[in-house]
Amino acid sequence: MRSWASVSVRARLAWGAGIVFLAGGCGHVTEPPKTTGPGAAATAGAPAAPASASGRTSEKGGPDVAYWRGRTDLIKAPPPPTPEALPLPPIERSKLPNGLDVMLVPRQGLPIVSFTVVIKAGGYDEVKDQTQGVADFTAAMLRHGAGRRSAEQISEAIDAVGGALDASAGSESTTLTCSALAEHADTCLSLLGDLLLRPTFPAAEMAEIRDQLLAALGGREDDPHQLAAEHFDNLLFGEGHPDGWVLMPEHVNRITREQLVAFWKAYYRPNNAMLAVAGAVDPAAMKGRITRALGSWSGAPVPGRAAFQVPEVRGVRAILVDKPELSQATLMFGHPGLRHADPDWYAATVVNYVLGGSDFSSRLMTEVRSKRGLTYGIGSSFGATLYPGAFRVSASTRNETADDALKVAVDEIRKLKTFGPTAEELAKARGYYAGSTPFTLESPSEVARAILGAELHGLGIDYVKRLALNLAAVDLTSAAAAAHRWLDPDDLAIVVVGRAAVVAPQLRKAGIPFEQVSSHAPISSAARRAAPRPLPSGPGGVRPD
Amino acid sequence: MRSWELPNGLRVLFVANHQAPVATVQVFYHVGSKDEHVGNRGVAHMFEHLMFKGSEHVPPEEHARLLKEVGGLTNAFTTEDVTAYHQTVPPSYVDFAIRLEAERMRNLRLFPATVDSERKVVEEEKRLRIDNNPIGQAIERFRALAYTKHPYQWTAAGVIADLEKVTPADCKAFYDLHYRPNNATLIVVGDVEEQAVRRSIETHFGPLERGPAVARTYPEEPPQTAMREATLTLPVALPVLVGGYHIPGAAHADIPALQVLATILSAGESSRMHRRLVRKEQLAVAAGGFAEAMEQSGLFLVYAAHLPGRDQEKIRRTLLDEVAKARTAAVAAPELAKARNQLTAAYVFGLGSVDGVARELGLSELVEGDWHRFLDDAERYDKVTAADVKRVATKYLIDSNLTFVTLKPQAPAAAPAPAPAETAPAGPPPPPAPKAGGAS
Repeated sequence: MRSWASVSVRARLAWGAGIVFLAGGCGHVTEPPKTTGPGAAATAGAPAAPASASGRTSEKGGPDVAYWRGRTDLIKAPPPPTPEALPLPPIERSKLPNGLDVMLVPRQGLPIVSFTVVIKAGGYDEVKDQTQGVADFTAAMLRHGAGRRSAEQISEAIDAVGGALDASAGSESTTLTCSALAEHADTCLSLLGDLLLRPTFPAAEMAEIRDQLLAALGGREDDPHQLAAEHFDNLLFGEGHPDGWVLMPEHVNRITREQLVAFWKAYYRPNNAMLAVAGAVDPAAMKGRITRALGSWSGAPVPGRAAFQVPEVRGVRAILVDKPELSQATLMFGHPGLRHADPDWYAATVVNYVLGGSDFSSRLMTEVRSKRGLTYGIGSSFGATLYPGAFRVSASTRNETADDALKVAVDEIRKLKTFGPTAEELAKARGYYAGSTPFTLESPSEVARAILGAELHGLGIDYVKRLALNLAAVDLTSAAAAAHRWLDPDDLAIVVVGRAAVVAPQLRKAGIPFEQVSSHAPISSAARRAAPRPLPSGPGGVRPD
Repeated sequence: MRSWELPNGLRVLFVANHQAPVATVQVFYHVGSKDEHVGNRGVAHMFEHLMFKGSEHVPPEEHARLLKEVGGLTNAFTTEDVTAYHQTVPPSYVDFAIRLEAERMRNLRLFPATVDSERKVVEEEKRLRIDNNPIGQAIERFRALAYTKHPYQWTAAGVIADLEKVTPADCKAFYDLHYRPNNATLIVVGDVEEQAVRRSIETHFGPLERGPAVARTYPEEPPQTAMREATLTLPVALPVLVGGYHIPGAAHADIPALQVLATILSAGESSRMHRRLVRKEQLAVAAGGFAEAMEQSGLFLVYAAHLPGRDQEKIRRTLLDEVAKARTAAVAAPELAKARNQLTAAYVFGLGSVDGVARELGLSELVEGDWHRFLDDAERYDKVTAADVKRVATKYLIDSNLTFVTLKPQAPAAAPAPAPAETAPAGPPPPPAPKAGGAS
């Protein structure tokens, strides 16, 4: 899912390497996955992961389920919590003379302080085929030389105090974070000052970043879900919309030092940035320290961003990505969505909770998995994005049942669009958001990030405070209207990654026009068309047997 | 921090934490994949799934649904040593979460159809995470090579051929032996009061019957006397090398020094491995090491991930050379101080989430044998000297104690496709990845 802090390419690499830790079943995992919050996709990490595709699971009413049917002694949930405004700590907001928007989120308790700087520039400010990849490359280079410090000195400085320093760019924005024990807050401020105001972009440091970006791009071929997501974005948003662009190794290889410097000069400006400081801080003293560290950052007008349109396409179109070694098929499909600041966003989020945003409680999971055993896991999401993003469903299924799963899921979308959710479903969604919203903001740094995200999307701090209340305010009428308006089962972009020999006949039988491509083929449709050698199936069109 | 035991043997750990309106209820069972044997490998993890599939008063999957209605999140994990179930809830629903956990501790209803369908799910998860994942395969292979007798030779993902054979009766026997109050630790952390929690636990868990004592005898792993090596060739875009040395169990006095050494080798970009392999020699995109602490004996792992086309032999040599340095030269005082600061800060950061605190307490209690160890961690790291680090490196990180697995990219599919011209031909698919691990 894309969110304001959408993951940079390099972060995916870190995740890939991290699997070394996880797959070993190593006991001491310190960061449990949190899969919550409005718009959270719900495909992975479900407890008793999605069940039977064995075909052996009976329809609801098999011998296993019959045991509990009609019983009156079953455990019921207590009454749900009442939605309330979030008790945020007092947030002190001010602006430095150079335009930097500063928010202090003090909470005493643990002696930790975390700084988050958001630059309102990212992948959306790149130029297709000319500077693609430059935003994240620029961010990655910051800690490789700044002020009088070398890359080693920067790493030494933060590691010496046991802190963490990171910079990365997503599509909407660039984020720098520094956290440390409160006694080392000045180490963070001094480093952030150097990284933001005085980066040196040493040419000799570029090879290391290039390698990491290339490794991350290589890794997407190994990951069916990522492969499906990239194909889906390209198919839905097209080559004219940055969400549809595909970053290729040649883009990464082409980036020059001059481009990095130019991107930094144009966009890294205090009037184009926000800073949040959360944790054990004394607001009065902290303001003075921030001014000393960042007060000399000079403002300048920032280039505007081109407007992009999500192409309107009618009908169903599909790409079948052949990865013959896979025992499962990965399915992703959907259509254009809405932006976070859209007045319909709350209602659409609740509708999605009912449809596929609530793991086992969702209609998709119940119908596609529990009743029919057609999938191992299925979930859906509207993002929470600056621009209208995508509504997407993603599922993993046996190759043999890919189209059956698709059909049932599309039927569910149609039903929800036509009839809207029930009062009982809305009540459950309300209880969920009322209960879970407060603890998705457990730590001060989570509060800070939520506030920055809301600000970036033009929603304001009040959005964070009133989130549960606004979701609870969605009633049957507004939910039905949102379902009708924002679900579109007739105009879909569909991607299946799996065994083409098994999946293709199903799509053909269903009358779904599709293009078949190899998992090694370029993800971008334009790059495929430009390929001198035609694809085995002929570029585009349905592949004949 | 409070700890007490119920008459039926259930150990309880409780921490009141009023920083945020949130609480967590976790049950750690002292059973994992090391309690399996050849013939039922994977059953512990399968059981983790079955615990969501219905009990006397909770229909299949309702456990998660009921908690969701009140805003709760629930999940579970299985390791070699423990199976843990956790739910994060608004504080006023702690009693409800405790009630649900007590219900499934002794009231599970296992139907043959449920066992069958869940078996398929667990097998698919294994295919997805291990068999379709090159790194998963490397780890599985590594374990099978590093251990010859001890059940740590397979991972919690299990073995499909074994899972196929597990019967509902086997499941029932497994449940009746391991899912008992005297084999579990209940942990509650969060914005709740001790008296209310005590009452709730007494009400819901108090009546559960104590089970027989679980015998914990495992085949002893003979000391390794010579280096073991294997190479896997797979279609992979990011090749990996993994080496590992046997180290003692998690409670052993040498573990803190090994943790400090792992920190020196791989924590942060100023760490030795990163500086040498990623920066100085630009051989790898990631490199590091960590002590994988398990209950009976652990592994000190070192690894590097690199772009295809790099010299794997050189990477291997360099990785092992960094390990050798730890044996021959004493750590300088500033490097030791840095490692201590990193460990202390990481510890304090970890205190920020009730879920994380409960998890660490549970693992300390069951894997290290005493929850107090979680509290004393920082103190133990502070006592580690440069001489300790050198001593443990010399004792454990030696070639005759090393197992090394190289994941080699299979040409040509794994080469990065730099230009659109490299559109893959329709040629034959890469051969299915060789199944690794568990083949004892």
